[in-house]
Amino acid sequence: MKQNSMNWWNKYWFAPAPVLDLAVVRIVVVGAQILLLLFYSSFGRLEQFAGLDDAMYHPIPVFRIVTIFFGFDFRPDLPFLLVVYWSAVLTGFMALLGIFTNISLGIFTLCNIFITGFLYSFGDFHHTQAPLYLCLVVLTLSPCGRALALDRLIFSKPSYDDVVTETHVMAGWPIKLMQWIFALIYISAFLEKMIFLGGTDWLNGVTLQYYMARDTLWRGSLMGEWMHRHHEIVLLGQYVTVIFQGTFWISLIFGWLKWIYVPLGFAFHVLIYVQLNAFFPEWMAVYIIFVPSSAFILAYRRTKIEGFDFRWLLGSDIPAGQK
Amino acid sequence: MGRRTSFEDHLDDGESSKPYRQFITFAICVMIVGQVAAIIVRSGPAIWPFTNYDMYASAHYENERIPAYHSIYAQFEDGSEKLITWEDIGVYWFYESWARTMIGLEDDSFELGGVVPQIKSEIGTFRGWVKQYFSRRTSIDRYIDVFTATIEERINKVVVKYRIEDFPAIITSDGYVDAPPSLVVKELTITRSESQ
Repeated sequence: MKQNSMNWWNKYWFAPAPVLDLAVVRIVVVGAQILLLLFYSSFGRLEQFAGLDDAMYHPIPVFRIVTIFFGFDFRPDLPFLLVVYWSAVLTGFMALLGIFTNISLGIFTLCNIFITGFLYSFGDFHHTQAPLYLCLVVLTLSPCGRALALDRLIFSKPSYDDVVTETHVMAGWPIKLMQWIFALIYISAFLEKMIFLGGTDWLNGVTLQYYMARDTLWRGSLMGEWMHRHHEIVLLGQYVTVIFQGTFWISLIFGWLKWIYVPLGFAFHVLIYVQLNAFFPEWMAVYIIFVPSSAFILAYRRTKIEGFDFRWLLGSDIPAGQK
Repeated sequence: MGRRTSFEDHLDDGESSKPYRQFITFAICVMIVGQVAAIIVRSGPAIWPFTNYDMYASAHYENERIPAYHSIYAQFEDGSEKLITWEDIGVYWFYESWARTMIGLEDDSFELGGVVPQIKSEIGTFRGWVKQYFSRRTSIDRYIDVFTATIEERINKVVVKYRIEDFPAIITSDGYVDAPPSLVVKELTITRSESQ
């Protein structure tokens, strides 16, 4: 029985999968985080937070772990923070280009966790970065530099193999794991709404109207002012939200359901931005894990040669590991 | 099978890849168990980046007031009063958290420099020790000390009391409507220990 379990485990997590898909995830996720580092106002806070009073400083546990060698209550000053920040930017570009990919990814991940952990050590806390940082950790342990990377040119012997069809036994588990992490995240959101905090009253329609009105009055929104005045539409939206979050995990078992859940999920995050001004670019970037890039390229190639066949969209005749 | 990099020479399909697969199996289990644990215990930032996701999760009802933001008024020793803005405390990010911290206190008075209110009754206990190191309330409850000191330094007056008012709006099934006037949701007397 143990052998059967291990066989099942190995067949699920370590089935050959396209290296291109993993490389695309690396580029999109790392690229998004670099843009956020450089341009999103959150990181402009470093100078302001470095000047906050010591009484407000209470490091979160992961920050204590990351800085353990500097002392249990270590508080970095601004020059230290800036060194970490620019190290993150430099190693981010290296990871993006695929130069010593896993090493640069590891340092990039550590620097980002350091910066955000520091910002969260003053009582403030948000849920925006966690999925992306978990994805960076997973990518660090994966062969994501096997394609679309300078490592491939530097360390490999020349070859004319097609990177689109190339597979590897270690290229599938990172994407599958992150998909399950996302499913667990949505299950958490569902449980908080329906059991821990809201209960069935959450589905009264007024709840989401309240949040749209609150966020619109507080920080403005593109559509919240208009949308929140339509009770029936908002009520429908609440039911769709809860059903989506509670059942998303089913699409990981029946893969064809991703054609419904993934666009719906991405649209969901766009909608909460325009209606609540709740911007989650990190989540939207990590949605690349649901895009089988190599399958789309292969389907495009076949379409050019053989014409379009809708069965490819349902997973027919797609190489193992891409379903 | 495609090209191989020297860095990944061990990633072949033979027995030499087994330790790597075992390590990855361990990593997969840690990630899944970590996220499930965060969901079950509702850990917040304690084991971040594993965390629970309670955004927009509380239920709300018709005719409920909408606390879009709060207004904090400081009353001084000389009897004067001033609306405190984020410019007065020097940081935009914490104004609303500061207001909600004061509203959430059980008592109507706060001693500057005293024990953090949420662990006062648990001093000396294991729970109190855990909260001291893992709860962000330890930081949040110090906002009152820090911002009071900042205000007093900038305005050169001694704060004796805070009055916090909410936002004058309520939610209906047709959207929000104005609900003047603003309500006073908290009055917090500031006390000081004899050493201050």
